[in-house]
Amino acid sequence: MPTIVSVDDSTVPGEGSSRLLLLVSSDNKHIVVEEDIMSRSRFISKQVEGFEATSQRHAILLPFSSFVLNKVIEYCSHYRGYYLLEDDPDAAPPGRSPVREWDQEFLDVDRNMLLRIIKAAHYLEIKSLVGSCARAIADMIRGKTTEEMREILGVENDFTPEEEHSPSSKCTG
Amino acid sequence: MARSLLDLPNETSLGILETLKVQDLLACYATCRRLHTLIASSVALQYTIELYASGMLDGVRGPHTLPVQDRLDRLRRHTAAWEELRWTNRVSLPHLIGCDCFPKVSGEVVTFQRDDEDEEISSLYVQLIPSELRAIEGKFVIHPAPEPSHLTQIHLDAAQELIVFRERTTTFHRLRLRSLFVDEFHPSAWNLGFIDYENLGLPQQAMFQDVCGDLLIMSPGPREAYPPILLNWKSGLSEANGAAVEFGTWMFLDDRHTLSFVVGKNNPRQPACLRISALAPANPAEAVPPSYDFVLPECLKHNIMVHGEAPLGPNFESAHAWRGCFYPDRADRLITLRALTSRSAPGFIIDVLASTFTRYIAAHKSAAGEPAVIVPWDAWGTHGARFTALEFPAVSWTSSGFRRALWGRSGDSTVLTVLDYCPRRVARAIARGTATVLHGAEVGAQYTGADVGPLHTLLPCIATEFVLPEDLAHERLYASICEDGVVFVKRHGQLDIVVDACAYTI
Repeated sequence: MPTIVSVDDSTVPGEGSSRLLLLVSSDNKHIVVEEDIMSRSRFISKQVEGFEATSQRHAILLPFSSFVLNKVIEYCSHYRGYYLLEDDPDAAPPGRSPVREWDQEFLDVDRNMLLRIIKAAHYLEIKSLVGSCARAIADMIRGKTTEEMREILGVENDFTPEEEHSPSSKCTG
Repeated sequence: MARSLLDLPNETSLGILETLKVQDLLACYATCRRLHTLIASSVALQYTIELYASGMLDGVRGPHTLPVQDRLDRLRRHTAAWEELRWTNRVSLPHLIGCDCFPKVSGEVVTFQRDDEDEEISSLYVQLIPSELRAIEGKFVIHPAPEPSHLTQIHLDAAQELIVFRERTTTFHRLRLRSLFVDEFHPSAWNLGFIDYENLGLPQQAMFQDVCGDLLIMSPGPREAYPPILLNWKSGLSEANGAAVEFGTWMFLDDRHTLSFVVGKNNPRQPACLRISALAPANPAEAVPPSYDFVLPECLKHNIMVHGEAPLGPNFESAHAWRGCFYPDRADRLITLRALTSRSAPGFIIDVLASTFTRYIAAHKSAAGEPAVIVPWDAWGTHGARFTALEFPAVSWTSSGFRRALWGRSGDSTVLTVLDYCPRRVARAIARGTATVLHGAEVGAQYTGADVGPLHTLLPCIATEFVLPEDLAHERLYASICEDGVVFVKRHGQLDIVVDACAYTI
């Protein structure tokens, strides 16, 4: 895969050498995770930088459930030590990358879960996961009719009947 | 609780939408308001949709998609269209048989009325002129009058958003507004919505004058001096306010909210006079920004202040000289005036008055707080350019468009002249050497060149001569210049109308 570059093993810190973070989910579950795993998240990285500046570490409260958080941690653990192009802020992705096979399996969840994960990924600023979820959602609605799309995306038809018949909202494509 | 795409931040939703193929994007467009708005506000997505709609999108197969060769040809024609005037398409419109009305043209949309045989009912026709160059199919919609009535005063606004017309029966006159939706991607799906005049609280006798953007301007009654009525037709708010203006013909509102009108035309004791007013906030504390691009407050608290008044010059001294030829340009205050030189020896003088009026007003407003500045006609020479003395023996018509003026054929001549002063097109023409370049002096401008500001960009102009096709050369024609070209409507007796669009810009 062109977008995944394995870093030389010797540079991957051994287990236990990373410091621990305490994450608290919205359902008040306390989850301890290695800082190194979560470094993919720009949000967490910024928090950690803050800790280092003030020499004070505290729990990080997150606005989503432990179920979702565990999923995100699973993702981050999987790609631990990998360089993903999207997560490197200096390297603009050269194009749309295909859904990685593992991601495809990992994101084989119902649409509610998928929307929760993408929201969490956005909050945590994990671009690679946002991108994978976006592609997965796009796959779900590919080739669907407008009515089916409403179902999948969880939106309601709020056009007035008049507007619905107006050309700017009615599409045959 | 079920989650929805709408819970996501816009940025993330756009990320999803951008991975979609164009067909899926179009289906998404129609799901709900929020996604509709999101897609409509994304330049990248709109660009994709536009490319698809015009058959120019690579890597997609769709009903519109053109072969690569055709796409290449179209791109080349697009470039070439800037360089010369030429006919792009001509359509015979058999369903227009019997139409007898000067059509209103805006862009590639033509509206007109058609009277039925018993002459009790007229219907409104809206025609979208097909354009191969822009991949627009020709379509039309008919709006039959709901009850026996005549339609008059048909007007189509520059945004092609609104059709204004009067309905006249033996018992009432009614001004109607009808919104027009034209969807270029699905031209079969046209729609005419409507707003009824009664709901807008206007006097029964109100005469429609002009519409620009959200604003309608009307004169409330016949003949006497009344303040004009401004109406925000989208919100239904109206207000009659400000200085009374003499009811005159040809009141024009432009997108910078300046109002041009002629007074004294019906008064033999007063010379005809062109006035240009600026709509300004009623509260002086709300100072007008120097750029003059202010947004009208919703409550429409406005006074109409007369900022300039210009007697119409020697050619316009006689009230008899008027032949209904007053064409303001909505872009740069270019006003084309046509006058009959004398009744015994018919001939026309065409004055094109280009004025940096808005800037001028702004400068004077900030000077001494004077509410009104009267600018004599001659003084306009230093603030505008006047191209006089382009004399035609008998000009059929003249018309102004966006930074452009069209002068019609004279006599039996089949040559039309288009004066173009859009800086971009002028620069292109000069670079390519494809058009005659006219400098101020050549067109008789009282143009001094000093302290003129944007007028430097108005001059030089390019004058393009345009030869009518052989079979149209001796016909009675109506012509109107619009952003996309010149639209000709031929009246073939009472039987047929041919519409031609000459696209020379995109």
